[in-house]
Order: sequence, then C-alpha cells, then structure tokens
Amino acid sequence: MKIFRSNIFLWCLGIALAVQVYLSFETPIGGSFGDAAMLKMNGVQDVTPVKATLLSVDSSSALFADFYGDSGRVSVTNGSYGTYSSYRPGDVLVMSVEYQPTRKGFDLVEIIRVNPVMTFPMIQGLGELGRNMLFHVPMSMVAFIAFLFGTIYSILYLIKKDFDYDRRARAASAGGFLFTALATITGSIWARFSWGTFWNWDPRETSIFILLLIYAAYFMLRSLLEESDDKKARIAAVYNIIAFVSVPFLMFVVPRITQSLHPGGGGTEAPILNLSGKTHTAPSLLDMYWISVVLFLMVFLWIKDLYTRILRLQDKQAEQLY
Amino acid sequence: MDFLQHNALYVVGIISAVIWLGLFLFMFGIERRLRKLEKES
Amino acid sequence: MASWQGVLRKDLRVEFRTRYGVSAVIMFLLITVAVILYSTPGEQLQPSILSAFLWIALFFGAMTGLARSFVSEEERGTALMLRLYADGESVFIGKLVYNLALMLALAISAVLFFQFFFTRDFHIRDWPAFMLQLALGAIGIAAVSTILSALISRASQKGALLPILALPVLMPLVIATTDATRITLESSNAIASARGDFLILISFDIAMVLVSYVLFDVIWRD
Repeated sequence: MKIFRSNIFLWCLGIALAVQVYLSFETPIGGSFGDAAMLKMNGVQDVTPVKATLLSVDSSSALFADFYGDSGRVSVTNGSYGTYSSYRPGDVLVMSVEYQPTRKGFDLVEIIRVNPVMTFPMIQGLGELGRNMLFHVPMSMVAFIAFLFGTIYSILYLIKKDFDYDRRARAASAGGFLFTALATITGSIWARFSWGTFWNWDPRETSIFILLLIYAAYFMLRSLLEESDDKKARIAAVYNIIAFVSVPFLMFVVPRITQSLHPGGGGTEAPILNLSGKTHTAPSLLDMYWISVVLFLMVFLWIKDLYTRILRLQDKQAEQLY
Repeated sequence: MDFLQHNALYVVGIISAVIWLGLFLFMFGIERRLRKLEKES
Repeated sequence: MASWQGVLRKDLRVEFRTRYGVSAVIMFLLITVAVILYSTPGEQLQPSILSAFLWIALFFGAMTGLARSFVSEEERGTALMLRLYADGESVFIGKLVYNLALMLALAISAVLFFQFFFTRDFHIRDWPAFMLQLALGAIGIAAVSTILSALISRASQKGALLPILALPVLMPLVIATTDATRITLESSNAIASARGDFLILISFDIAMVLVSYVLFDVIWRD
C-alpha cells in the first residue's frame, strides 16, 4: 500500500498511538453513588471513584448529583484530601469516596479530577482493570480482520494466479497470528488480576489457543512444502481458506453458546457485537474502543505491507541467484 | 516502592507506551532499510 | 469418464480386497478402549469423560483410516489413472461418500464397543439425538479429512501431517459433538438442551462440504 511509503503518515500514526495509550490510562473512571454504595455493601470494594456535579457546599460537606441524577452528600473527614472551598456549584468532580452505611452518606477520600474532558464508565467487577478493554478486545478484533484479509488474498490468488497475492496472504496471516498472540498475552495478564490465574481454559481461552494452533499448522505446512512454486502457493491457499471456515465458529459461535467468564457467554448478550445490534457499553469507552480498532488495524496493515515487501525482495533475490 | 504501589496505573501505562514506542521504532527501521533495498534492486 | 458411483465402487472393492482401512480402524478402537479400561478399573466414568473418550477415539481413528484415501493413490501410482478416468467432481464426491461410509462404520462400531465395554456407565438416554449428532460429526470429519488428505497427497510429506492440519480446523465440530454426546448421555430430551451444539454442527457441516467441494478441483488438477 502506497500510503505507508509516506513518512508523514507514519509519524501521524505513531503520535496517534501515543495519544491512544495516554488517553486510555489518563482518562479517569467515574461511577455513580449507587455503584459506590453497592460495592461497599457487597464487600467488593471500599473506595470507589464517582463522577458527580457539585450542587451546594456546606462547611464540611457538599451535595452532589451523579450521572444518573442520584444525589449524594459527601463529607470531608479529618485528614483527608482537600476541601470544597475552591469549587463552585456546577463543577463536575471525579472523586474517590467511601460509603458509610450507618450514616447513609459518603466520605471524601481524594479528589481525582475537576471538570474532566472525558471519563470512562465504572464497569462492575473490573474497576481500573476495565481499561484493558481498549487493548485486549481491539487486538482480537484486528486479528479476525487480519485472518479475513489473508483468506481474501488466498481466494484472489486462486482466481488470478499472481504470486503477489500469495505473499500478501502469508503476510496477512502472519500479522493475524501476531495480533492473536498479543490478544492472548494481554488477556492472560487481565485474567490473572480479574479471575486469579493466567490461564483457566475458559471457552474463549480454549478457542484462541486453537486459533493459534490453526495458523501454526498453516505456517508449518508452508515451510514443509517443497514443491514447485505454483503448487505450493495453491496448497497453502486452499488450507488457508479451509482454516478460515472454522475461525468464525471459534471466535463468535462456540464461546457464545457455552458458559464463559467472558461477557457474552452462555446466552448473555455480548457488550459490543451481538445479534440485537445494540451496544451495552458507555459512549466514551465505545468511541475510544473504535479508535483503538482503527489504529491497531493501521498497525496491522503496516506490518502486512512490510512483510509483503520483505517476501517480494527475497523472491527477487532467489530469482537472481538461479 | 510506595510510589510504585500508589501509581501502579501510570507504571503500566508507561510500560505499554515504551513497548509501543519500541515496536514503532523497530518497524520504522525496517521500513527505511526496505526502501533502500527496493531502490537498489 | 467414470461417475462418482464408479469411484466409490472402485474404492469399496479395493477396501474389500485388502480390508486395510477397516482393520486398522478397528484395531485402533480396541486399543483405545483397552487403555481406557486398563487405566480406570472399577471407576465410575462421568458422561463428560466418556463423551471426550468417544470423540478422541473417533477423531484419531478417522485420521488413521481416512488419511489414506488419497495418499494411497499416490503411493500406488494410481492417482494419474484416476485423474484420466474421472473428473475432479466425481472423484471428490466418490471419495467423500466412501470416507463417510467408513466414518459411519467406525462411529457405529465405536458406539457398539462403548456399549459393550462400558455397560454400566455408557447409557444413551436419547437415541435419535445421539444418532443425529454422530452422523453430523461423521459428515464434518469426512469432509475435512477428504479435502486435507487430497491436499497432503499433493504435498510431498505423507499421511503423518493430516492430524496436525485437521485437528485445529475440526476443533469447533469436535467441541460441539462432545458436548452434544454428553447431553444425550445425561438427558432424555437432548435436542432441546443441545440446540446450540446442533446448530454449530449443521452450519459447520454445510460450510465445510461446500468449501471443500469448491476447492477440490484446485488441488486435484495439475
């Protein structure tokens, strides 16, 4: 692709990726007073970040209204962070609070951000770990798109018999393998802190493992073939197409039917891609999610382009040798 | 140690930024070498 | 030009003369059952474990038996003859039907062995659903191993590669059939509770048969 020959485009991509990482980690997470009270009552979490608008200020406490319109009185206890003197009614504060069931009120622990440009929703049971949704999930989605690219190139090879499509199919599948591996690593780390172990053979973990095996078999087949070039390319293309038939089953069907710790398993509706066409993710997180998908897709296309050009040069060199 | 524990999120962020930066520079290096080779051949 | 019935008849006749495929598969099944019985004396085997055993035996039995369908043609040097006498379409359909017949024979003998050796634990509660998922699993395995066997016979490495190439591709099917078998062993109304598995099986079978039908000609012609 010609666009990757332009240095300006590549630097823009790099800067955009840096901004994506910055925003993913810098954007504060703000929930509601309801979340904070529920998490405390269930003993899951004592201190919870809440995003709320300041209504009025007393001497030691302030009245807030959160995202859902619920109001809560947050008092400043001794020794805690700051007071409300510098803020005016109408300011939006992201602060970590602790629910006090006896008083049915909240204690201020820390003011995290004032008038934030963007906040991420508080995902129950994930908290700060939810930020990985902007890395792990886009990576697996890009992996699927990459395998789709590889299959389309394989089909094009069988139609047009142009070796460049064979190279592109190989490069796209390699890129897909890389992104699947990245999704596996990020998911494994996420699982360690969310579910307690790096790997517990959840249906989605099993299916991504099989996905890695499929494409490992594809590359093994390619390296073992010692036939003439067209035959080799044809065999590899056919295996790539057959392999792709089971990819949607592994990525979209099997994990949705069986019981799973991942969202979307066992008949529950998946947060982003589901049959009803509705998304169950708050707009700010969803926007960032799609930005991540586009950026990672660009990275994938660049990797694919680089690998294709390397293969092209190798083939040229081999031609010159003989 | 205390700093690391209280700012764990930023540590993770910086590590991922460094990984992306490394990958990006690596790929940029490949891109430049490829361009040179493509011009030669 | 020979029709697909001709290819099927030829394969059945060869099989009837040598009995290589069937005897290899029966030996494989007997050894598998013997190992399971030896390692679990007097233990109560759960339906989930029995269904996994059944499909491991069926999958690897299929790989030993069905892998030969094209490799043996190349080994005996008859592939060229076949290419001359029949077009790609009839070779594919003939081989697919032959593999399916072998696979169904394998599946039924495996079920008989399991009924005989695991009398206490292997109780099928929903026979129609059990036979349906067995047949659907057999179709999927037969389709994938037919096309991949043709693919391997064209590559220089012989049969040993087939399980490595076929297992990951067949995994969605094997997962679904294993689950469906477990459900037919557990409940008497399995069609309703294993609806998702049956949907996976049917769609996977249709997709695989169609894709391998379309792609076979690409591998077969020189």
